[in-house]
Amino acid sequence: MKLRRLMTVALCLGITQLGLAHPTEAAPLPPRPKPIPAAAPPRPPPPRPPAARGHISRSEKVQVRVMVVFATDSHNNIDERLGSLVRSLSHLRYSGYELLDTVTLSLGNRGVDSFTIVGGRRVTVELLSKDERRVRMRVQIHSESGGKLLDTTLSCNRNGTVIFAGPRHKDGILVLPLTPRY
Amino acid sequence: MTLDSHQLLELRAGDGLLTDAERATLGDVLPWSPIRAQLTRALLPDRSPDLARDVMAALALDASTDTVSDLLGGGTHPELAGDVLAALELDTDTAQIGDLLRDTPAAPDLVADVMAALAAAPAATPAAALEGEHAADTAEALSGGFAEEFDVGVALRAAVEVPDVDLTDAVMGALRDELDDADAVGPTLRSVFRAPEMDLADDVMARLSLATDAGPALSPALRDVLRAPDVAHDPQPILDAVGVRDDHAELRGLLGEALDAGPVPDLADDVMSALGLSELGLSELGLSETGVGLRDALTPDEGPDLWAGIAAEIGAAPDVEAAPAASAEVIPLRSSRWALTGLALAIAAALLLFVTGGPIPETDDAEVYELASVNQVEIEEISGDAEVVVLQFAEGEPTIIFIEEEPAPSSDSEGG
Repeated sequence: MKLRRLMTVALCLGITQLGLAHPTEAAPLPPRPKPIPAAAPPRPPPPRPPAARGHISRSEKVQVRVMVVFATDSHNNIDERLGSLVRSLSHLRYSGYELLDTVTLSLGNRGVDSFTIVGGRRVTVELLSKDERRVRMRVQIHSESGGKLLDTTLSCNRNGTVIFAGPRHKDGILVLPLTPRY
Repeated sequence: MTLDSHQLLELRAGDGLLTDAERATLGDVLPWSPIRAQLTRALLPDRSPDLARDVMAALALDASTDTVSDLLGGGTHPELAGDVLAALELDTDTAQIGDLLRDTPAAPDLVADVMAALAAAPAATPAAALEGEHAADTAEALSGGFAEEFDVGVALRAAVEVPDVDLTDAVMGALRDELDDADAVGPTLRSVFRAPEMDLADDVMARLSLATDAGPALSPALRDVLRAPDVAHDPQPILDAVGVRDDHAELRGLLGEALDAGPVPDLADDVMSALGLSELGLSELGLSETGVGLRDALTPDEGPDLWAGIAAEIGAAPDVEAAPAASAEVIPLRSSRWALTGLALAIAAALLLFVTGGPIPETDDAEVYELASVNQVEIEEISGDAEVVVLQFAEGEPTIIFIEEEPAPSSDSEGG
């Protein structure tokens, strides 16, 4: 139901979907992205770029900060530590946002680390490469039973944020803003 | 513009109500057109857009209030109040009627008239039909003649006021066609509980939604539309004003909690909305015995029995304390109630972590998050057992990868 609400909001805003079906390296975001349900048939993952592309050195680790936020309608309190992130979270249309935890992973090139969030879900982040402007990561979220909820490879601009949302928790959902900082 | 005593006498004369002394005062130059037509015409917005409010202000403040109130609806011309309200409706929204109701101490009889005019529709509902298993059927039966939200309003009112009814069944029955779509439930309920600061409705609906298995599914939609801002104030004057009896402990407590979080000025709207009345098309309504009775129940003399009077007029038992136990147990939780328990649990958890040496992630909770001005994400591949939707609401804002955790029937889906 929440998903349908989100899709409605996005469609109302007249936003177009990111070009996921056609992976690009440096193409700017479309001006009007919109949601596209994940319904495409499985396809083999494309070959990953060589690690040397990242120019990462042992002393230049990336601090991947992942916040664990509980979005709920059971109250309308918003944790002030969420700061300017609240505006983005508001698109999820919950009334309250609690910051449950903040985890910072220090990852070098090809470094992998993981941590467990509420509900027994396990989040794994692998740093594939980075350069002055962008970082490539693989993010996996597994359910408590071991099922793979999500496995994605993405690139993000330096100090940018990507938000993972949706795992159910109590009467709301968990939201995981992830920010690679270096 | 306001009405002075001379104009009021003219109005009385227009309906043939002058005493000899009054007639002598005014002379014989009065227009004798029907007073209903005069008032309605005078209040039309295209003639005097602000007149309606002024007239009502005058009625509330003028020394002749009692006389005018009698004229407007004190049993002599009950339909006139409906005309006045109809005229007001052309010029205002219900917020102005709310303003009017807030003048209760100054013009109690007028408020009674307003409520009487507004209360006509419930009169069409047999009291027995609002009870028990018939509540939902009644709502359905009314669907042909009134707005959809009225159906819900009837059911909600019945659910709240009738102690013997299965509360949630009544509400769910009224909403049954919309329960599969939270986006549809919300607007309907918003129209029933119109005021955005509808804390009273919030509490009531929280009770209803939590008392059923369907509550968790319904609650988010309800809370979306019924949530009120936290505005602290003293509820006691309002409790006194609405005349909640001391022996109505549960309702009093409920109102008190509602008022703790809601602004005072909206209470009148809330009361009207809670009765399911504010959205009705006034022009379609006429006074009835129940409407008059409801007005009478709201007169100052009956003030202390306000809720009992309302309940009686709409066919509900007035004894709020006789409500089902299930309803009493689902009053929204307050943080204070759980403060000590929560503190104890927190201490226990901290000790457990300390003793067991469990993993403690590196945290920087004290830091306030500052979002970068540019958040450009490119997704190269994405897969998983869950349905996934990728959203970006504006250029530069973070991409949201939304995971619908419930697996689809064909669980191996991939998306982008």
